[in-house]
Amino acid sequence: MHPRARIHADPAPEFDQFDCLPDPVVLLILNKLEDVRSLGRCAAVSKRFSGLVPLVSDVYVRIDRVVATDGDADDALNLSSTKPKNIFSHFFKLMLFTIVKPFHSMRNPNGTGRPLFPLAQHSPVHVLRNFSDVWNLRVELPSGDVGTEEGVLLKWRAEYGSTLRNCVILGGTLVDHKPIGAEHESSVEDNGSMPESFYTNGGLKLRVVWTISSLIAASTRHYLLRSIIKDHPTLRSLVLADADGQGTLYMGMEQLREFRENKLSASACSNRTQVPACNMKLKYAPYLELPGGMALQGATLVVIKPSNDGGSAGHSSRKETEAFVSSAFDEPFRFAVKALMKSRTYLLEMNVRSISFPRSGHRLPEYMCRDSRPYKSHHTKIVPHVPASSPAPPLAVGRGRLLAAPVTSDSSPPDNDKYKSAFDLSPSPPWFYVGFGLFHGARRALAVVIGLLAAVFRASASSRRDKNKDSLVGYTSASPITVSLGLFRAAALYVVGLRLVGFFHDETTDKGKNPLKKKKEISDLHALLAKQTVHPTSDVDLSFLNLLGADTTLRTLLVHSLDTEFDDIHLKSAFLPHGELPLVAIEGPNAVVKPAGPHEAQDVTNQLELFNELKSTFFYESLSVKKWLINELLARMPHDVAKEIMESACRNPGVSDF
Amino acid sequence: MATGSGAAAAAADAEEKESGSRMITLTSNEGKAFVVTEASARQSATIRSMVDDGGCVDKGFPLPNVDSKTLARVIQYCDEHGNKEAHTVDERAALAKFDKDFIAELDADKAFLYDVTMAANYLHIQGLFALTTQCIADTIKGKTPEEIRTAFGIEYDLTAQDEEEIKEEDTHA
Repeated sequence: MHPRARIHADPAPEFDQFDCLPDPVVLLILNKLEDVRSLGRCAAVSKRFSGLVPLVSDVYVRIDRVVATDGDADDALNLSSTKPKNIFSHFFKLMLFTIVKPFHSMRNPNGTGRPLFPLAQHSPVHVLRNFSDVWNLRVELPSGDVGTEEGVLLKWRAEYGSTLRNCVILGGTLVDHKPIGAEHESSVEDNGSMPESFYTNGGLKLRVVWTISSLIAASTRHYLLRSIIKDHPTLRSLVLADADGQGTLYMGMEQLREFRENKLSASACSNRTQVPACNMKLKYAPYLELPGGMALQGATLVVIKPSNDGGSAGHSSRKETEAFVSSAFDEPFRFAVKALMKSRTYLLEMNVRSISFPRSGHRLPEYMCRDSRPYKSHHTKIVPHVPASSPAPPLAVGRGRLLAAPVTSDSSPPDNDKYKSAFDLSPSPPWFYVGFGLFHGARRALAVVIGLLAAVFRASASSRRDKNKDSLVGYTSASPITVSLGLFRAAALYVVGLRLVGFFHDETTDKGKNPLKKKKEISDLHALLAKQTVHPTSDVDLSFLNLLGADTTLRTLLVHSLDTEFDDIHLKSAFLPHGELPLVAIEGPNAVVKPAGPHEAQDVTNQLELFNELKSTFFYESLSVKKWLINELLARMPHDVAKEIMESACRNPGVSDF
Repeated sequence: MATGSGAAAAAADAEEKESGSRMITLTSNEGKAFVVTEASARQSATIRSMVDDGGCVDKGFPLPNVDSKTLARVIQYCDEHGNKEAHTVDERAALAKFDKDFIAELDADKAFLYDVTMAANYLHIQGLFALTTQCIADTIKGKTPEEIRTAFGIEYDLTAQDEEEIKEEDTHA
């Protein structure tokens, strides 16, 4: 075609100029394209291209949008079907990444301009199946997973093998210019220790939310990579980032090998892998100047490492971690990390406890007991990192309570009460009580069964009537009265059945509460939520709710409650006097009064236990909250149980708090 | 032979070798000889390994796969990168600017760009190869298949069946 410069002997001189480039060179060029969309178009260029494109080793997939799907439909990213279908299978909707079909722009060669194929969406897993030899894969999500306030900088980088290896989180409020003098005097006077106000103004809680949200986002991404890793044994490095530059998940060659060798421990509740028990080191600086005229207010660095892998690796692993941390982010944040590494370390501990699935027979416990939920419960406490020689740290940890105390350099005894009260005085009482209805599906099924029973009853009643007619033996009153009696009984049984399984829960147990009003409350909350911007994957595990202040987690909770699966769960809000936060309790439909039966005695014991537990759990709560809660709980218990509890409470002086 | 220092002492020779001040002759497939510094020639991994293996330096290197025009351009790149230091920020910026201008000029003449790419590939000049392939890749980016065909003068050889397969792959994928 082009006559010039054909120096090397070309086997087919009539070919176009580009064809003089040998395949390996063209492949290298295609490697530079990376972008899966461009590659898709290349595949439609010519035979040669379509043969080479699948061999490209560096692929970059940019995902336009993330849509939630019901996991079962998609075989590529679905959940293991062996798992019990619990409330969370819908709760954490499976995220299906879609990208616009790479070939959509392929046009008819006749120049009609009509796209050959309709626009469609694909999961990256599917698109990547076109590539057989991927070494380096980079996937970019459209946005970060953790919704943050305006102006808040939150970045995380996690290194994963089969489970979390390393994670570093940097957060703070990014401010443009440097305020003069007064603003950052505190950073000068106490080098990197948390100011007193940090405990009371929600700053600490916010950090914990960031930490947990980032970890959850990371483990969700990790879980989504399974099928990609499975499909591509040639992978050597894998990066899952987002366009906002918020989070980056990295897996290198060694990590990928480990991933393939070990079975994943998926979190029981959701589409993410389990976060192991971790050691978290938190470093803080009230004000940190960055190169380039920026500054971070309340700069926080959290370095997370699984707590179980410290021993064997020893110092080398510490060095590795340090290297990982210092190279986690680009400038200017690398500078911030380096600066923060010098400041005082606080230890943050997160323990993951396995919780068994509760039995359906114990309905009240599900409602009352915060631990009997079918997912991992995480308890977080912050304790200051103290050198071994120092006296015991001023630890102030309530159950399910988030408390922190700084290391005091003087030898005066730690003042636990100070921190307790500081926490109590916080504008957002760290109180949250959530109960879940876990078996409303089963409940419905039961209602249907009872309905069927009623139908059978009715049928037998009418057949008996027929029999009576034919044989003239037996009952003498083979009259319409019998029939209507039978029908009536059937109907009554049906209603009772529904009642038993809680269908009429609203009306029967919430005497004096207008269901319509409740509905309005729910819709109000939904409206409130609509104003918040919450990313679909920013799931905060609900088990953390107990630990966090209501203000920071309320909207997360509400997001979850918006899930259709939760339609049957009653959002109950009480707007307390004297400006306390709206108290939201989610109660499951199973939390109904149980009819008296052989298990009652056991239930009483359970409920006593729960009550006592509650007493200690809410020890720090304000009186009005406690009163409201206790009244609500007692109102829901069978009368005799409530009575017994009250009697027991009178015998037990501790309960007199209530 | 080009160095004119055949009688130099062994020590001086070694020093020269290290400093890369020796001259090396490269001959194009048209028989034209190009004399370059060793530092410049060392940009090519192919020549570097031949130089390090010893021998044949004095005879020069015939390059049967590269024509004069291409070789001249390649040497221009090698001289810039081999003979100049790139330690300070300014020096690196100057080099980056050179690369930018260099590739912009090449980009205007696609056939020549391919020739330089081929030569860079043959001579294993990593920097130059990265530069030219990136340039070609940038040309492909954001183009429709039809545009790519036009840009590179590629013949449309996909049959209806192939197209169907791509479509199939695409819908199933």
